[in-house]
Amino acid sequence: MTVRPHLSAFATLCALAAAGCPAPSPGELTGTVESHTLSSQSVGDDYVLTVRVPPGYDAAGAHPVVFQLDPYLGVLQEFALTASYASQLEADGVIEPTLVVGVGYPEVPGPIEGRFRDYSLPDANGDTLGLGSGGAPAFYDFMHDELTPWLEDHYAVAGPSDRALFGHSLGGLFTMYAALQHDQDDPFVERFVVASPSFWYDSGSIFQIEQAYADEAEDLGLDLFLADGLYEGPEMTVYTDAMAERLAARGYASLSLTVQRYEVDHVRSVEPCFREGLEHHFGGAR
Amino acid sequence: MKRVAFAVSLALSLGLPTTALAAEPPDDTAASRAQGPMLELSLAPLYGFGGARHGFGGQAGLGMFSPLWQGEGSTGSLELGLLLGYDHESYGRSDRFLGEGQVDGGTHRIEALLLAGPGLRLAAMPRVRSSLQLYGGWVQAFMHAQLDNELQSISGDYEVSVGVFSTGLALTHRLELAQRVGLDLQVRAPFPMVPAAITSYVFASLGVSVGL
Repeated sequence: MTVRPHLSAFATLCALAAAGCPAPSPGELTGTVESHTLSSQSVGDDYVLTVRVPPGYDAAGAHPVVFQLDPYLGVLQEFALTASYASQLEADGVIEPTLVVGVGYPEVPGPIEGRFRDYSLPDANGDTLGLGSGGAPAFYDFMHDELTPWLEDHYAVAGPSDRALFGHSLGGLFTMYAALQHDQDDPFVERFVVASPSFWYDSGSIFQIEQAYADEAEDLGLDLFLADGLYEGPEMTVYTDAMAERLAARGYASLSLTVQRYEVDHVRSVEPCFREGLEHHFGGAR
Repeated sequence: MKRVAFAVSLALSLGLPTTALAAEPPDDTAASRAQGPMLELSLAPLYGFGGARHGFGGQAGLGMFSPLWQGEGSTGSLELGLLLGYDHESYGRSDRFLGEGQVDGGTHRIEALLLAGPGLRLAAMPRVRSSLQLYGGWVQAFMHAQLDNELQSISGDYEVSVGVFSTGLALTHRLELAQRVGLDLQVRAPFPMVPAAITSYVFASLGVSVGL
């Protein structure tokens, strides 16, 4: 007996996090929020960018940046979550004033179709379950070649060593993919929060991508915060452990790898992953 | 008579006492059914669905209903209950997101719930009693599995036990087959619903209840 015909519906349900789901309450968001539309030649579509500009923003300065995937996904509201945590941590003096950039979608394709298109890996094993169209390479090009130069032109941003990419679930899969596309000579970001990643996608093809990177490169110079929830099931935790073990076994001299597991389920993992990810990358752990 | 025969066979299959089935044919007036309070024992097989997995099990309940009011068109009651449930959610039967044969094992779920809420019987359908109850109680999940992905040379065990407090709503329709024997259809769902959470299972059951 199989439930695969229901997977798309379930994934959509997860994404929407049903109407009755209590939303995380991260607290007050300080600063201002600006909205922009950016057309992408790589993807052939528009993106709606939501930029949280912190109090104390200095146009002549160099502010840390968080690129937030899935900024508006049902009640998860990951942009508001991360921006609010940043507000708290700034007020507590833990992190410097930080820009948070939500990379979202216009009404069409919308947050669900958009993420399935952009965060899914190209079909390598014929087991994508019809959940995505494999647009990760084009979306990576957009992030690297179009969004980052645009952001540098419009805001006072720090260099790649003070920029982070945050993604959860399918967004976590893309974040891991982006980490494995890392070009030491031309990075757009050097910090990553891979939260509850969907490494199961396409029978774990992200591990083939990891192997391909290892075959080509001797080092991986980035800071990776990899985390998930204890109650997410074997399809999450076993794959997270496997990725952590593989990366550690590579012996990359410049890789900083932190692995965390929280006693939460898949939806609730966004809160500790993003809050502690912010502290890890931009707080006392720097 | 067919209804009684069906009730007897269902009761026997669920291990319920059948002495109550020997009673006279039911009195089909709402007023006659508004007496009480009354204790009821119920047993039912259980089907659950949540998180793209599904499971099968059973539940046993002890309920009490007490008439609250009686009108021309309907009667109302207060319904209280204690419910014990078990189901097994096999990963192999519905291995969410994973290719065939990647994962073995499953979740054993045990529930102990208290229910309370109003019941209603319409004069137009005197043999049917419906109730909508709030429930709250403990859910204990024992999850164990082994994942084996030969393509990526990945294997690992997953062993977790977690207990959580759960709340929700239970909707029950009871068709009285005989004077003290009912056929119960129940659907219960957690509220608030948190997708992918331990408690996010919706259950449906079809079983029998016997007045004690």
